[in-house]
Amino acid sequence: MKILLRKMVHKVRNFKKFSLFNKLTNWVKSTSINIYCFTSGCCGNEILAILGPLYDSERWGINFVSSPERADVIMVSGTITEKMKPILEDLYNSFGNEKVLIAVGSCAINGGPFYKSDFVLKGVKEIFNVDLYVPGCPPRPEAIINAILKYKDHFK
Amino acid sequence: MENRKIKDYEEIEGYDIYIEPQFRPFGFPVGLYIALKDGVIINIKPEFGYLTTGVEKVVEGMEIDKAIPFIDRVDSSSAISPELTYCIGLEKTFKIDVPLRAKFIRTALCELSRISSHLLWLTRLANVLGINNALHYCLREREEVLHLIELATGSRLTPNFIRVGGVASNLSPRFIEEFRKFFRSFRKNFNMLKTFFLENELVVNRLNNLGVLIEEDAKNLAITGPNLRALGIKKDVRIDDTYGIYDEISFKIPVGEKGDSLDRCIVRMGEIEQSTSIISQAFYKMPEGEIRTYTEDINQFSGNTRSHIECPHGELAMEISIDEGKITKLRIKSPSYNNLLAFSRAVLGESVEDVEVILTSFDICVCEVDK
Amino acid sequence: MILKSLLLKTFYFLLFLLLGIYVTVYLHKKILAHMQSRRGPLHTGFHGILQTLSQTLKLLLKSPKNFLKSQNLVITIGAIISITFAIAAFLLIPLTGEIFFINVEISLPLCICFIVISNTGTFLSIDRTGLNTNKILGLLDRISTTIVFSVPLFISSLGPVTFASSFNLFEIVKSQGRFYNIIYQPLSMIVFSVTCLLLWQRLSLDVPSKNTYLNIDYLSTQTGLNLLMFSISEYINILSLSLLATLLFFGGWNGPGFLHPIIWTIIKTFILQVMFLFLYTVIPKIKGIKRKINISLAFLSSLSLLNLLIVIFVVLYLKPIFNL
Ligand code: SF4
Repeated sequence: MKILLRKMVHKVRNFKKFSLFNKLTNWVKSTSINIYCFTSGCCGNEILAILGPLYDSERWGINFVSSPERADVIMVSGTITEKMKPILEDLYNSFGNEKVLIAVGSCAINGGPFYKSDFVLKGVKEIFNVDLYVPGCPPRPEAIINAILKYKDHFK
Repeated sequence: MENRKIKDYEEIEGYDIYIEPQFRPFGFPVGLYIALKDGVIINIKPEFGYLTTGVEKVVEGMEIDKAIPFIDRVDSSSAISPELTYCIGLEKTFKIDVPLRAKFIRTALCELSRISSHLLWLTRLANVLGINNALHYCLREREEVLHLIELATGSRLTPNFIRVGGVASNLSPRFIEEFRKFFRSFRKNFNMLKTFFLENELVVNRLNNLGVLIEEDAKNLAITGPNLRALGIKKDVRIDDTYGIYDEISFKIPVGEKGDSLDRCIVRMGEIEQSTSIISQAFYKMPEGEIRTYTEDINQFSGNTRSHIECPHGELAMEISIDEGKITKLRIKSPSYNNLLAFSRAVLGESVEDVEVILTSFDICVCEVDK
Repeated sequence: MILKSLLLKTFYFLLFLLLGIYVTVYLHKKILAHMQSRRGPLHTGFHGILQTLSQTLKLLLKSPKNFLKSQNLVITIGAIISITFAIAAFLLIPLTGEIFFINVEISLPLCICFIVISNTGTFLSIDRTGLNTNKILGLLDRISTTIVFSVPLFISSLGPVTFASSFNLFEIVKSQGRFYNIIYQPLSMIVFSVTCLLLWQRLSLDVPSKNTYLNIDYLSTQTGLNLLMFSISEYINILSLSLLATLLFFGGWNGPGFLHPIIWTIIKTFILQVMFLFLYTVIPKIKGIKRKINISLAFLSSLSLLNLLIVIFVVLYLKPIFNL
């Protein structure tokens, strides 16, 4: 009986891997990406630029979203100070189950030019698990879009 | 949803509404405590300091040339102006001659970044007012200006271009070619942008008589820049205490009348036009020659300097002490800090819906407020 | 037999509604993008046709776990109210003389009533967990818009009613056999379309953060099904309001005989929607209750009342003489 049950469970699991439903969800996840932007500092200007006509991010279905509850990806860019840290933690907790975090700019990676400063965190990696890094000070808009597309290719 | 327990705004007595800092779009973290009475704001308290990087401390003990990229990051929207303030101050006290061509290049780049900063402010205003088309047209123009800055300096936002005694590199022929192309199209496009704001009845009605700044407040809080000129007071460092080549170039200073949001809008629009004319004159008169004078004994300098220039937000001043070629002390007086205080005075007596519009109309750069 | 035909009719109408919404959402994105010298959705399907589908499915996948918790339940009830009344309003509108769902004597006022009620559904969407007072500000703004601008909407629709001397939409369209109402009463038409524009809350299927008001967005912590229902009801309302405008002022399905009447209705509605879209990208959002009252009660309502007086005069004295 037990063996039968195990086989059944195995079959169901295998089925789930290749099922149509999984394919559909992957397609949905890769074609419409909701991003919550946590911006501060100069890098915020570059994120404004990728909405614009030159680097139109809407072409790939990238949306910028006003609350972390709706987002798939949280994008932390710019200087994160000690005063900002509790707010970021609260936001991260209200984020959904599959947490994906992109750190944009050298400030978010390791403190950047203000590495020696006492007020600045030495990168987001101190508090959370970071999935993608976008280096640069500030990174070019193409680099940010490239990072999002890398996240998108992950589902194929 | 349940996990979110951001600071309890009810703890602070006397304030009714708390607008959280992270909800402000595109790098604008300022929290606002608002007290209301009969739907009218009677008291407002901005909470800032979310971006304190401590540049002034980080820079201490550095050599003169190494500090320039750090000073860049003070102002996020036009990074070239803090650089210029720093270099001008050092050149004045240590008697370094700057070649004429370098001065022209500096002026042209400063005015270009002034245009880009004002265009960024216009996009923010369009975003807050809800005019979608204008937002994207502003961004398109801004991209073109940034492209020019990138061609000249190598970076879009943080150029790291001005050195003590000149500039880092010469202008390429391609830059001048592209600039001619840009200049032809920009006048036309900018006139179209103007119609979105100043010829739209609804926008004018919305901005008119909104957030009036009294002259007394402006004097007490030491407001400078376009916000002061919107009151009708003609004060500009470029003319009062000229630096660079501004005395060789003819340009007007646009002023407003009442000091409301509409006047601030008109003044900044006029400044963009004046800046384009300044750049074209600078290119017309630009001589050939050296771009930098190298000084050997830069490591033996010691002394104190002061300098101030007109940056897009107002008067940016610096105080530098140097000991044997190393910075021992740096103080920055940023105009945005005073503008933020002016906002908290001008907003009194308005309704809650207009807080965002008035806040953006003051053109506050939070990087500069917190440093 | 009757039941079967009724079910078929419902099916066809809902199909038309869904297709209409899908096309309008896609076209809104595309036209808006091209107005702003961008490309819009491009890489999902042929020229981004499947973008809307994937966004809708995304919202369905993202439904919160605690869907039936007490706080969320209130919001869900609000969403259900808004979507049911929006569909009900749409079903009251005839597409042509033959194709209609139901024929009620007072179909016009009923339809406008339902649209207003469906707008009030959002009143329930208060989220008390976030401790963020901005959302309540946004909600108050929404409430004031709905209440204030429904008054001129009603009054301006009374002009065609008086002219046709009936509340029925069929009669109103029939009365425009020779000349459309836009020639007789352009004032009323302008007021009606302006109020339609101002009632449109500018919610889109993707989130409005990019467009405006990131911080004063009353639905900012909504996800999943609730948000989907709210935004779909918004789009249905736009569709039915522009349909109503075509029926009231542009002669409805009347037109030269070489095309089927329903195609005339669709073409006119489409042109109206593009016009709305164009205006909506240029005109700023109106905020503040004083300005709203100034615009709606003082300006728009008095204009439409003036129009009503003129129409009454024409109907009483000129109509019998000239045999209009
Ligand atoms: S990484 Fe560089 S550009 Fe970005 S916020 Fe930090 S200092 Fe500014």
